[in-house]
Amino acid sequence: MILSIYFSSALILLSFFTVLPKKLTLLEISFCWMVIVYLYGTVMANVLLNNPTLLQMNPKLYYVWTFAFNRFIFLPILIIWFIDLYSRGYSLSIKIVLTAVFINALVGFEYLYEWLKIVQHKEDWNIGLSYILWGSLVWSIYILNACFRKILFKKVKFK
Amino acid sequence: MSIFSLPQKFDFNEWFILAAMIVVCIYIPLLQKRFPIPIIIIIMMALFSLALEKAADLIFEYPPYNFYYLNDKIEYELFDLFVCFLYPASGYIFIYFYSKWNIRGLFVFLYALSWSVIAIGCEWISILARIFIYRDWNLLYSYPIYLISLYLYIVFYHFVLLHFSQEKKSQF
Repeated sequence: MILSIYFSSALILLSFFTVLPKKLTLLEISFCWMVIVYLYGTVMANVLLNNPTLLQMNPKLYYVWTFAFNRFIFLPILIIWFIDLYSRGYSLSIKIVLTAVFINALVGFEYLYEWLKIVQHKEDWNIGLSYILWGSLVWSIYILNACFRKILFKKVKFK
Repeated sequence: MSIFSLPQKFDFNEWFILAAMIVVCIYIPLLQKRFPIPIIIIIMMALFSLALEKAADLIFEYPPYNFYYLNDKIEYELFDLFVCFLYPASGYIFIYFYSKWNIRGLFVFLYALSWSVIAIGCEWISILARIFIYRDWNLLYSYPIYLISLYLYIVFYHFVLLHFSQEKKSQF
């Protein structure tokens, strides 16, 4: 049930994102997607393997696949959408609002997984860690994409 | 909160990983000199390897399944991170020869098939070196995963090549 809800909402989000006019090129979108999967995967590896007092996953098969689906499709689309909006050259105040909305949304989704019993926050976890995790993840992806964009357009221009 | 734990004992598996890293660090620049591939394509392919490896590990290696683990302990240790960087290196060698020999048609299938055998061979050596420790896993299970990954790798390579040339054209 949860998996089908996630699947359909991710499909809606994906189709919505596909038809939206975008500032990022397809190469940048794939770059961001891969960085998100790798960085988030490394963070999760650290949390799940080295710090079981922070977070635990529900071992049931459909919860595992819902979480996997979420990691590979749902969260990357949200973060890429944020980077796309952020790269459009809006004013500083709009950028601050965007950052606040997206980071709160990511933290909100994390607590939604807890409510849906996909993951369980343990005694050492607090909401501050969630903000640090998502904030640093989103900003590192944004900075890496900016570097990639520089290389891409430099290469494309002078090749 | 622990970030990376260090190896229990600095023994054969750690030396093996370091030696493999040194070999690829020497070999890849030599290849790049003889048949240069644009840096954008290298970045994209390296990231694709890392993402693919992490995606597979997150399902099979980490809780709740823990089908296998790397190195001395089940925890995520520093040398697990080093092992991650061997995947892009082997992916680069795979795509280097694919591109250099201009493999097309049925040969793509044969090329991917033979590379999956090589990958299985490498994994077998890694088991002997105690880099991969299996719990509920078997070497044969890895074969279809390698085959699918290598096909995805080729598809992604063509995708990057296509969009890179389109970007180039749109600039002029």
